[in-house]
Amino acid sequence: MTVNGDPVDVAAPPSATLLEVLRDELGLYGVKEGCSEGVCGACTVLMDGQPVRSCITLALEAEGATITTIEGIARDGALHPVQEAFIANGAVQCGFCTPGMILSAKSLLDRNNNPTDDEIKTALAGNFCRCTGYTKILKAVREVSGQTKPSQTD
Amino acid sequence: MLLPSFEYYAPTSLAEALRIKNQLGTSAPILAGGTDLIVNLKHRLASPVAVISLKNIKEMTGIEAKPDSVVIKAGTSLAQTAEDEAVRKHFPILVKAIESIGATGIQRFRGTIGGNLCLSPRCILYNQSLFWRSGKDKCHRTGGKDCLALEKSESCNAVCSSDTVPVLVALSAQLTIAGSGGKRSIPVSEFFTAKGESPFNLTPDEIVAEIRLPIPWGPTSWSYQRLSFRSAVDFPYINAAATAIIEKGKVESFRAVLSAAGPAPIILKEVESAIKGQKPEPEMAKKAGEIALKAAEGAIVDNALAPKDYRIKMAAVVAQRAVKEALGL
Amino acid sequence: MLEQEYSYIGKSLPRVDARSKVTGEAVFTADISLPRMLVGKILRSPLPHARILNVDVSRAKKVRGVHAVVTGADTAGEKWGVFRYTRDQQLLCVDKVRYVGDEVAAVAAVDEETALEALNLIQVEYEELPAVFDCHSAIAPDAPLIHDDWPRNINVNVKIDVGDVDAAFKDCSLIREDTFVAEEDSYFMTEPYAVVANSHSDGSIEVWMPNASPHTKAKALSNALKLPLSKVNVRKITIGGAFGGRSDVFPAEFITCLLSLKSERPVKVVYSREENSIATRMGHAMITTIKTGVDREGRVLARDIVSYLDGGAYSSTGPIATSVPFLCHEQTYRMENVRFHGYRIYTNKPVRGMIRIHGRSFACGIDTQLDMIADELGIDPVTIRLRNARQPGDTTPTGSHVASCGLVECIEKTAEKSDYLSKLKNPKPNHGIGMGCNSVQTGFPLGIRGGSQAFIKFHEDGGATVISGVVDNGQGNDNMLAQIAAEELGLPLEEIRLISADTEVTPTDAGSYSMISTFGGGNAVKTAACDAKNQLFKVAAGMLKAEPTDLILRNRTVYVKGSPDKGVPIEKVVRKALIMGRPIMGRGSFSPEVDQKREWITNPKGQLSQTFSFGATVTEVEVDPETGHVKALEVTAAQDCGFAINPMVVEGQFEGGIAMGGQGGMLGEEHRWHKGHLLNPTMLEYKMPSIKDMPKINSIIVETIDPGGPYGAKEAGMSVAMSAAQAYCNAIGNALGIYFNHYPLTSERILDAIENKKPGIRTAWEFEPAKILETDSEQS
Repeated sequence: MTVNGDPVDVAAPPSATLLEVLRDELGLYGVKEGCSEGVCGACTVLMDGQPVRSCITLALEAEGATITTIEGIARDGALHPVQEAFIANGAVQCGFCTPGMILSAKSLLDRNNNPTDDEIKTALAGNFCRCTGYTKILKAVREVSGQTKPSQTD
Repeated sequence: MLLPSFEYYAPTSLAEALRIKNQLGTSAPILAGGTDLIVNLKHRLASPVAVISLKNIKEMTGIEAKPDSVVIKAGTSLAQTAEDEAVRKHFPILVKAIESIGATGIQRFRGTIGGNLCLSPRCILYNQSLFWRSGKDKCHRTGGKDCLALEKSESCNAVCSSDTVPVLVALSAQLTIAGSGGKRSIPVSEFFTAKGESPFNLTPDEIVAEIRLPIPWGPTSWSYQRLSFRSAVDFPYINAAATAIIEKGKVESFRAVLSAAGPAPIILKEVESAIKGQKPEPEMAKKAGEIALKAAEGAIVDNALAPKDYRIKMAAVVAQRAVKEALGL
Repeated sequence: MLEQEYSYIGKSLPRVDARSKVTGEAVFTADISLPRMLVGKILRSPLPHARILNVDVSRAKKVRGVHAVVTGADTAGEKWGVFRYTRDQQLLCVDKVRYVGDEVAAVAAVDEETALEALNLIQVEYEELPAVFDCHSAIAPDAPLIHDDWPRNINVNVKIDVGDVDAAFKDCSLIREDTFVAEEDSYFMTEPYAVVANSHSDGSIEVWMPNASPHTKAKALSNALKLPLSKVNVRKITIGGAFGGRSDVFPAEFITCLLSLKSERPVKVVYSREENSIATRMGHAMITTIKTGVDREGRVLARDIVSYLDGGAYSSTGPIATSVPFLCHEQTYRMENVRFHGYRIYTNKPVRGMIRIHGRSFACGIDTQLDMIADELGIDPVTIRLRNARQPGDTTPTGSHVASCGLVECIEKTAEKSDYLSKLKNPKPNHGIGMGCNSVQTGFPLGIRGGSQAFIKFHEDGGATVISGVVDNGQGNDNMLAQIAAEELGLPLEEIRLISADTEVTPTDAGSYSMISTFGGGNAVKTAACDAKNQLFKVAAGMLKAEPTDLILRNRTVYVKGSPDKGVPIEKVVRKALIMGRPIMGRGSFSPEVDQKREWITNPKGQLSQTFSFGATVTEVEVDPETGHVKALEVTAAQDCGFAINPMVVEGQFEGGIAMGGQGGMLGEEHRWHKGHLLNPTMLEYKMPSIKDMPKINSIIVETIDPGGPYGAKEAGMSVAMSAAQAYCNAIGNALGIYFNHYPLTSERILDAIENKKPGIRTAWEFEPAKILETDSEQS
């Protein structure tokens, strides 16, 4: 598979999840394990541009796919607009849900660069945050929308 | 949380998948999106020998709009289904149901229509970790002979928690099931056994291949009602679907289905026969509620976080609301 | 200094730790990877109450790849407790297990699969004992005893008696007695608990784990492991939320340390979500009976309160958790004559600790009962609160002087912003509006560990490093320290480095759980920075030929007041000082002015906390009377936090508090049980809110500029969560004309109350009240 733009060749048993491979084999610790059952969204990564819960996705299912983790969305040392907006708007507190939340938001904006509030909430509904109450997360995503062009599929 | 060990097959054709399924039977479940299966495996609710992935089977995804029906391959993602032009045009009720499923921003990319149809029925005393269940008696689905939610029950009463099932039933969907002996076609209403331990009328060698939705012959009005604690990432604790074709003020066709009660969707036949051929009246919705209440009493046990009595009452509410909205009242 | 003169203080600056979190660089405990690290797994009791007859680990030890197996037999069997008089827990069970999840054995192996394989080979023989799962059953005469030394399963008994309650009741024109019940709520921080322990050949051990005070954890581990405190080094780590649930020591870290010491390798234990729910802490379920007497104008003359708290299997911070719900309310509202009996009761359930929404039944009980009294007297809810509100300069019933208090302002502002009174007079069908008030301590007496200390060192190029024991659980404490240091040292935020929460290197701090991080930790850093500044001025005075008192430090420059362009760059002063042999070494400390003789049980009077924060929250809801579903429309929260060092960060606390205490806490968050087994250990069935559930939030920061707080700051992290719960409860009640007394207000409870609505001003349900119990008068 391709992970954050790099070709990767990893041997994984059938029962390995994508989360386990990304963290334990590839050292991508930005992918978080919050519940291991596909509920909390902390493990969200992009698979062929679409958000998936890596803790309940078999690594083998990602064979041949293009995976993007939080470590892969900055470009040439510059943070992605969603990352910048999260920082600027106070949308980050403890930070554990942040990688998954940012990837879900980025994926939304790649598909729809001017979402309504309802569309933002629907897109982020699968990412739980316990610290922020979501208010500033919504604000950050609103701020970015309309400012990004859909990026290359990654 | 680690998964148990199993083999992984990613055949490139349905025929190949069927060959493997024929050999291994129920110990080789189908891996579609995995949003249900993988979680259950983590909980050791099943220990398959292998999983058969639909990943490389192109013929298992896709939507075909025919003159009289829309045919959706079982492995089609919920996202593709909800965005399909023909589905949106003819079956907005299905779109609504899909939009209610799970993590609304994530679910529908991996989740499939076939997977949601075949969602393993749920019970709060069953869908728990191995550790949790180690301190409990076994039940019908874990090697025992009783139901932890309803003592002395002869079969499992787990809840059919799918959002699309009542809708597919209300749309009179037809399922094409492929097996070692070829293909067979059944109405979706006949797919469910009402027994949580073996909820589907499938033999060990069979796979659901496609779902055919007959295009309504007249203008349809519809309603999908579901109740849950929060607005997302929450299975319904009761739901109902209703579809009607109303022409010249008369209900020519009517379907009402109650679900998320027991292991199978419940067609509210009494409601259907009372309404078909009549003019829509508010009294019909109220009557539908009463009928649904009785049906729920026979199906709902204390196996969800929401208490039994409350769910039974809500069965009446969702049925009433579904019928009211579908009748345009 | 006036606000306008601040460079960094009072500004909504992005947090200094945000960048590493948005890139995924920030390291949480489970992300740590050390050479030769082993995976640890814990074997837990599947039974709620049983004697351990035998533990056989022989087969487990033989598994290839297993490097350590520990059981209670590897410990001295000593009982640990937060207080000397609450020592009731063996951190690895020896003779008994007391809840489903209690720790019995543990394994460290080369990988998770091997560890699990070994765990499965450990054979434990249990003799099951009868168990109890609720307060009333636990104190019944025939109840099984959970701890031999605690008769009647009463773990803690807090008794407070101020004034003459019985006499005061006689003067009341109206008396109400109502009982309020709340089920357990829980933290559900997104990071599951994890521990990494790395023992070294010099006898020291490094430990990483989410915590609310590394020093508290280190001391407890030092005692438990019998290692000198200097050799137990709890390290700084990014923490994914605490909310009160990571304060005292857990078996997890003790066990992980044991495994590391035994195997002589680093060991990592990562909890599943289920383990995080059952094997760390959760909130107390509570039954609170409140008797309140008022005069004709609704002023409270007397209160008599009895609370039963379901404490679970062990004490944890029992005396604190039992007292704080009461204390928060004696601060919020004036009540000269008040009696409180708080009983923390053991049950065979997971251990309960302090939680951000301290005592839902207490909090909501007080506020809902106020609404009932107001109703009976024909007064509106805003007026009755204004009449009873705490005022600055007051003394609380248990003897705390209130230095600053903006409660009245908060009540008035939220009422105005939400148009409370007019909505009350012109209600829309099924719409309701309600208010709740809060007050929270900023640190309480914690003995030798009640204060905070800080050091500041300078780099030759003028940058500075702050060394502080303050811990950041995600709420922004690191940023707060950096902002304060930057302000005082005249340095840009990016040039402040921070070494914090590392017990080997940083001095002690009280911890974040008593809401003292800003008040205590911030003050310590401010003091240290001012000390450094004074040293800089002494040196710069010579360079500028001026008096130190005439100097200003700003924008990396020391200059004489009024001549910013004739200053000397800070690095020059730093280097000059070094040459002179008088290097700049800032030091500071802060110990809050509290009554150190105050004790939770034996002496619950005196200054509890140097100051208190106050606030009010108003919620508007719409209820579906057919289903009992609640839609929260808008929430307005005003909090007197003293001063907002960073308004954006403070707002974030309000918003998070509303989500946790109100939207989640009052509408769906509860734990449900099946014979001692937790039915909803994960977020799927524990109904914490998603983004789609949240209403519009208006945050109003009220600043009373506390005389003791850094720049006047107090606290903002816990308070709004409490009053949000109260506000939601009262709003729903207002919508339906029902006074709710069983929380959370799930749809089925609301529907039940609607269907069984009885006339008169009464609570929706009747419950067996909490009564005063006969116990030994003093804990030993």
